[in-house]
Amino acid sequence: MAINVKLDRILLERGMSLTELSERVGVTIANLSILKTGKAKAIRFSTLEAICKELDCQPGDILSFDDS
Amino acid sequence: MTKKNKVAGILSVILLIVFIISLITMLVTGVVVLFMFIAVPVGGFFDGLFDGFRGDSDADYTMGEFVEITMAFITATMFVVVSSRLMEVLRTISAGTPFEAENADRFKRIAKVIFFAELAKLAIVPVAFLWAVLFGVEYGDGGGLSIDLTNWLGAAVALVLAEVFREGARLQEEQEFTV
Repeated sequence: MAINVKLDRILLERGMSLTELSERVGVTIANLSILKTGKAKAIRFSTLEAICKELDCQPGDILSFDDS
Repeated sequence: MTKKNKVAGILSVILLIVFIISLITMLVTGVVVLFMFIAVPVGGFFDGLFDGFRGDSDADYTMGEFVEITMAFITATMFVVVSSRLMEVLRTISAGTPFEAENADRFKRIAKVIFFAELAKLAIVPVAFLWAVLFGVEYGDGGGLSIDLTNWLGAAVALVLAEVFREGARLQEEQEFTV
């Protein structure tokens, strides 16, 4: 997959669990797991905004493009 | 019960009736076709077992009548497959999950069945006619060549629906994996 999701790394850096993030952004753990494991087909701007706000980061910190 | 489920329920009952009638017709015509086929005088084992397809005046039935019964058997078989597949589609609609890849496959199968059934109905006439000529069998008035455009259109509609459901299933999956 060309787009890599680095949510687990950011969560580790912030010392936050997926459950806690789920409660804070109002997205189910199932959906966050889909995002974390790279199975997601799309991400809403509202979800990305909420995650960035709670983790105090930029979208680029969560997503990266892999050309190989 | 929602309006959607009510319509699906009524359609399910209608399709069940169609399925049962078609199944009975398929079995009855199937047995008749089998017995008529056995009676065909092709210099085979069953010559004289039944009085059919004879060139003389004692014939019980003509080749044309055999073709008509065979066509009825093919049509009934087609109805059995189509109605059973449509019932499965309706079941998924009632369950609230109509856009799944299986439904696309079901519609594709319906289109294939209609296509091959109509093709078989078209092919059987010249074959039977040739048979009648070769073996000096009376063809009779029935069992003529006829093209049912409604059924061909039905096959085309089923193919279009298959693609619609395939696209729907893709969108559904995309929706499910959008966070």
